Amino acid sequence: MKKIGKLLSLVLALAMVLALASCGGSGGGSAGSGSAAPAASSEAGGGQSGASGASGAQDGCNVDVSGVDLSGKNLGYVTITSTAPWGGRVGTEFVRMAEAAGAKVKTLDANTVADDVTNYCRQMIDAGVDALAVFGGDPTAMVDIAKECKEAGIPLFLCALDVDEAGRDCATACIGPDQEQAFVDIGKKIIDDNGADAGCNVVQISGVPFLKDYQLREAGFKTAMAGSNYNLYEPDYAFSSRTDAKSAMEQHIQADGDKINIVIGYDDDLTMGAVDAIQEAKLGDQIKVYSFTGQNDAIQAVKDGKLEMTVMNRADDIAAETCVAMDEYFSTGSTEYYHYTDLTYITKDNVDQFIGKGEF
Amino acid sequence: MAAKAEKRSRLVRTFKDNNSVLILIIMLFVAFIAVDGYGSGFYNVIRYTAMYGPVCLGLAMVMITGNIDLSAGFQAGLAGVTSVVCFNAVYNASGNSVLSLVVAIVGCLLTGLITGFINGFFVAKIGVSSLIATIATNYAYQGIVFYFANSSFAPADADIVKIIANTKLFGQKWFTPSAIIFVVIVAAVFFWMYKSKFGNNLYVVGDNPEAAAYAGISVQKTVWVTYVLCGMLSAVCGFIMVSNAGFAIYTQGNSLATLTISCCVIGGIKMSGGKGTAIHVLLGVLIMRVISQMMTALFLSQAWVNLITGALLIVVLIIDRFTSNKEAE
Repeated sequence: MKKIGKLLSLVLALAMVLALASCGGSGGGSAGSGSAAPAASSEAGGGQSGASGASGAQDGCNVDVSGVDLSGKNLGYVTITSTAPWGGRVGTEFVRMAEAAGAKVKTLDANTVADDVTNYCRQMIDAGVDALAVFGGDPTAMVDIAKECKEAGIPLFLCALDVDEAGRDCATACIGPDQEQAFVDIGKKIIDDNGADAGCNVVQISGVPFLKDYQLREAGFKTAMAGSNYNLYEPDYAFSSRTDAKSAMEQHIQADGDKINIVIGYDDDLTMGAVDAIQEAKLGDQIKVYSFTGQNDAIQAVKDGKLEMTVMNRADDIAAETCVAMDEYFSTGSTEYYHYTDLTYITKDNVDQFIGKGEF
Repeated sequence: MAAKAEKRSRLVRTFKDNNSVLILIIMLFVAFIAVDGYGSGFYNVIRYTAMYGPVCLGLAMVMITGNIDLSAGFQAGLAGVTSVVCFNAVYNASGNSVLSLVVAIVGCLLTGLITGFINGFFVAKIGVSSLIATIATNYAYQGIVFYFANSSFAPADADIVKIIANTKLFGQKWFTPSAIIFVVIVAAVFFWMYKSKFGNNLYVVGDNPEAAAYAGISVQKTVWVTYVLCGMLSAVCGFIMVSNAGFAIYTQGNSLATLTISCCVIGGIKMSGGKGTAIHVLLGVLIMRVISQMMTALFLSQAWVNLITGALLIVVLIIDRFTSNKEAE
């Protein structure tokens, strides 16, 4: 029994490390697989919503990647998370598009640990990638990474999140929508719909108070509302949980149900939690809901009259624009710092063309 | 004489009957031979071992007494955040970076002492299950971290804070002051547990608390002190994390709860208590970091990382079971 136990322990330990080594081979391979594909051909229709070459962007993407050529480039992609629906899609689409354009892409996922984003960025710098794209992370932490990238001669592309000002000279490009402006626009739309002196009571359902994205969105909305006599409740933070968002809305309904006129959700997933609470309380006619992201159930809610508006912020636009920015950088040696991606405002007037066209 | 022989045999057993040494050697062999570019990133293994090692040592002491501390991660996070708060407060008042650093370190260690004391109070004094008590305090410490941390915040003079974890001694990336600190802590804890009466009491309490009480050992005091030490070692980890990153962030400590337990178990600390040394912890952290670095160097997807980490833990637990059976026989 002793011998069998010891033998089994050794066999298991050996099997474990050998499996690790072998799966490493396949994992690394998968990151770089498909690199043989040539740059996307220009069969896309072009224009605003074209760009769906055989190896380019998928239907609905607003960025034309048909001319992007990243042949022979070894790219690094570090993400704060690959499992969140939207954030994960930025990564999968970037890898797919970059590989279709001839690049090899190595990816590392920090699994929501901000420290690991910087650690993994350094790993990519050590690996000598030709360019590094980063999704998420922390704007302050990225300052050092931007500096280290510049020292190493590696262009740094920041997807959907800017670096603090101290690092901006060292980063190459920041790609994504102007989130603050988007919420200025949403605020203006709300005022247009309801009148600047309507004195509406507005519930705000937000995500994570510490995340720059949500801070920018809240700041934009506050700016827009400054010109009205609306009363804004302090934001409720649902920390990316639809259930918590629903619960927060239920509490508002319980306390002030008859006074609430408008709900602004800073993320569709959270907004849909609030919509559930409103529908269950049968207050759909009284409370107008506005949101951001453009996911399928929110688009359907616009169609069903449960949501006044959502704003489609396409992950694949960011992925595609990152490829475009890289291509421009490799071709010309520079690219403009801000690459803003388009946002599509979906209301009952145009919702039919977007049904089922959300990315998830 | 018999006690001396027992001490010597424990020291010998540490190296002789240790599966983790074998696992580490195999891991390193595979990593250097099979993983392209592993050597160039190996310094990360040392740096992160030095960073996470102290908190694992603290947890190991608690585990040896037959308890658990699930709040170690956020004790580290809270201490890290406190160090930046202290640093900035003193720096804004005096403009003196060195003084600010000293106060930050003292504030950090004090925070660990207080959080550890609170944990010890609930477990040792009140008698709440260590699992439940530290889940509760983990929430509380996390809440305080969230209260202070606004996305992330850096010390007013980040460069001086970074000295501990980022200074390359003799130009070597792996040879940092934090690595030296960790080696000193490992040696101190090892000899303290091996030589001192109090250190030996941890094993007795972990083996059989009732027998320990009959033998005149204060179980309450022993357990309480281990929690305080765990808090302070977590604080050391928290400060090194801040020093390594150059900032404190609200997620600091998020992933440490499972990581620390994994390191201890893989190293050979028994969940049931009464077994393990600082060397076991060192081996456990090294194994976890070697694997982690291997997965990073291979650019594996998160799915693979989770799968392999889970499989690894299962394998180690099976090994642990057979080892336990052997000892029982």
